[in-house]
Amino acid sequence: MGERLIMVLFNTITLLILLIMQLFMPKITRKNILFGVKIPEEKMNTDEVKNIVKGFKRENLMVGIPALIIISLLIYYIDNTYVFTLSTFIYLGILFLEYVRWNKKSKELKQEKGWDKLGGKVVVIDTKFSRDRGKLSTVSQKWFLIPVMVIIISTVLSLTMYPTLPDKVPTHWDFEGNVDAYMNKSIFTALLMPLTQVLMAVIIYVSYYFMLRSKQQINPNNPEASLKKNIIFRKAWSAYFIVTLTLIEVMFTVLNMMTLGIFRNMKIFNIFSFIIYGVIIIGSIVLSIVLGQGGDRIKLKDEDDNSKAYDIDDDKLWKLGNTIYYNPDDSSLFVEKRIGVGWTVNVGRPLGMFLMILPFIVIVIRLVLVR
Amino acid sequence: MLLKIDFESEMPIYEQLRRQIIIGISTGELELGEELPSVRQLGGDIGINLHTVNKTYNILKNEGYLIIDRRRGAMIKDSLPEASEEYMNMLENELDYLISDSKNRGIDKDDFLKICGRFYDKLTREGDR
Repeated sequence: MGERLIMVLFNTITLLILLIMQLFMPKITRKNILFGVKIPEEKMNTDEVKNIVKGFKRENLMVGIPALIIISLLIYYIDNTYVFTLSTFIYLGILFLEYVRWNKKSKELKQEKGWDKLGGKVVVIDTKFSRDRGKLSTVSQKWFLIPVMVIIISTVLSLTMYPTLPDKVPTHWDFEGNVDAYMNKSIFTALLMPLTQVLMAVIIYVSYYFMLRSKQQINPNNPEASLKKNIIFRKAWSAYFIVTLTLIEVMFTVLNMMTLGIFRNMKIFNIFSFIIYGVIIIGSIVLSIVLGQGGDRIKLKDEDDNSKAYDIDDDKLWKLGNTIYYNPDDSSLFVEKRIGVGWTVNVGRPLGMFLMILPFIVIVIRLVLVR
Repeated sequence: MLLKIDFESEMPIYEQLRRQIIIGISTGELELGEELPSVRQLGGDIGINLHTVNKTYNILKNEGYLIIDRRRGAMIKDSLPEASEEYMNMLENELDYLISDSKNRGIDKDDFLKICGRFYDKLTREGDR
């Protein structure tokens, strides 16, 4: 009973974080994007634009909080894994519909004001950045050696402790630290955790690599400053990836030590993992807000903001409420997200389309297999 | 160097790229022997087809500005191309047309030469840096 309540609360907190992220979205997106719609930067301070942002926040609170309460009550009273899994998706769906509503309003405003005729047609890029992005734009790949070393330690522990393992190896604990799942002893069981750790490392390394390859997007308004900010942005996020991976690997190594019977204090582990999750989540929030998408929110010391060139108007290349990039003429696979912070794929390229639908395929397979 | 591509220009993108690279070489923003971004990187960053970049690189290679190495990609040559007879003919033809067009529009010889001087001076100034 107590565990169930904690699970629901945990889910509620997750949904609440989603709602907060939605509310913060306009603050972290590039300064010239209003809910996916490109608006001349100097028009972002007008009352019409401010009213749209205010309306979005108000409506999200009015819809988001009651929905959060209803969903939490539902999953508490209906004891069903499906409902539990689906709840997050339903909530995301509600938030997305809210977003789309305000995306439409932004489009209407842009047209009404004639701002759609102002967009520039010029793209500026830096050849050095384009060429040396690996050296220039991210922290060195060598830092990945630290998490790799943690994995090696974990693997060595598994291999040396293997002979001493009991026939039934504990693999899962409840919140009090009582074992509630076992597996039969085998070399696979012993290496399960190190293998999971390798998988985590691969996933984060791939994300890092995609970020590295992603398209250069600098503002023609002030190319030099924009470029500097973008490099700070990429360096910070690549460092974040590596720190996050290291923390996760350390946590999994401790978990492995519990399986192997070297370490038994569940309480310390709980506190420890709670702190690590906290650092990872808060770190991403702080980076998002302080740097903004593409480093757009960074303030450089000697920055002059007098040039009046407009950024290229590429609204038409962004489909589905300006969230999905579709441009077959663009050879880049990874581009900056239009809203929020991060990267997305160009579905105008076959590989991009594949990567876009891959998560959905995985989800469907999981729902079919895990009954 | 910063490349600026205008998607609404009458001039094709491969030609815009070609001209800017040549200007970049003359101002020193692109150094002799410097490696250029790969076709994939440059095409991706500008948001255009790889063939467009390829076309520019091939033209510049034929003009004697670039060498394309199988492993290192496109590089600016250590020695710049000379003004061949073919080039001089082309230059004269172009100038013939430009001067005529300018004269028709009321730009006299002094003004025209002044403009030419200004651009040359700019290059030597930036080149010295």
